[in-house]
Amino acid sequence: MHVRGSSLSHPEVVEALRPFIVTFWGQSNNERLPDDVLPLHQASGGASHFATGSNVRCFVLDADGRLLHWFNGFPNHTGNPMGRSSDEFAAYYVREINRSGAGRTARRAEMPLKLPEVGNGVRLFIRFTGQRDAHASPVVEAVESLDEWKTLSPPTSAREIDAAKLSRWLRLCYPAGVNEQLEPYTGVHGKLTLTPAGPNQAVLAGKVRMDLPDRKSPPFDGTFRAVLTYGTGGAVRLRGVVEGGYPRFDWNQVAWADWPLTVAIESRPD
Amino acid sequence: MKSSLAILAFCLACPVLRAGDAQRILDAFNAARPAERELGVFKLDWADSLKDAKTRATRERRPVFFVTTTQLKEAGNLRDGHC
Repeated sequence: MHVRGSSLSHPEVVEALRPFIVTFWGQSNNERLPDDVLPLHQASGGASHFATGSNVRCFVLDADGRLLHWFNGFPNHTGNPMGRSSDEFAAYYVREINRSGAGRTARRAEMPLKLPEVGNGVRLFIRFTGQRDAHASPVVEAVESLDEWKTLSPPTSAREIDAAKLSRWLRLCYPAGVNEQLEPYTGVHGKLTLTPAGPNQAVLAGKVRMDLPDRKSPPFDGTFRAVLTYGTGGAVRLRGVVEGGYPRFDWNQVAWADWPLTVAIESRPD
Repeated sequence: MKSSLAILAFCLACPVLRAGDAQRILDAFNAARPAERELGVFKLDWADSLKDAKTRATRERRPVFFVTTTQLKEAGNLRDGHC
């Protein structure tokens, strides 16, 4: 979360990485490092994350795949990202990227915005509101639809829809966060009402409750509202929002607190 | 008669009410959808794997920036954000 939100999203880091092709690899459940990743870890102090002080490492490779420079994903070789602003993270990343010298002579690519995309589905923009730095960085997911458009077919009168029928969308409405929720919601509950709203248009609205994978956590409670515009040939344009309080444990207060979470949902293709 | 007129008036007003709801939802959507300046991570030139990145790097004569995360239950997706 902090690497992406505080560093890779920062405009100065984006500019510094303009010459680069960017990629990542994440280990799941202590799986073995792949053959092309292990040598890089060995060259940077060893396969164990204790070697560098954090579980995030950054590598700069030249055009022929040779390692030029590596650095700890967190400044000052500490695993604790707290207490540093996005600007401090970004300055660290820019400094380390530039130390490699790799970007100086490489072609600087154009950088069009390329969001996750699907052929027929929805795209979600998920983030905390009222937060700063990494916590404010939006998550973007795209989901192919199966029978959701059939579920949301044009209503002739108001009809109730079980929110669980849209669970493939709603289960992804959780924020970024290492050491917090790492998997989709395990349950989606609620009743939504789809109501005609003028020619070729309907409004979907209702309360939703989503269960976090951690059973000790309270659920996410919120509302889901959307406008559907129906075109010819079954085409549907959806614009909607999920809004609610995402439960986070406040260790200072030793109590659960709700952080406002907002999700913008748009149909794809537009 | 008056009650019939009232019911008729209400039914005629309903599309207007729903249109107002619709506009409020669209306004909320527009406020919630991030601006392009907030989506900088999606302006980076992402490759799906180190292998793909290195193949492209050789072809395009460009360097690679590679991030690894370890010691997590789930790998997540650094680009899209659920990580």
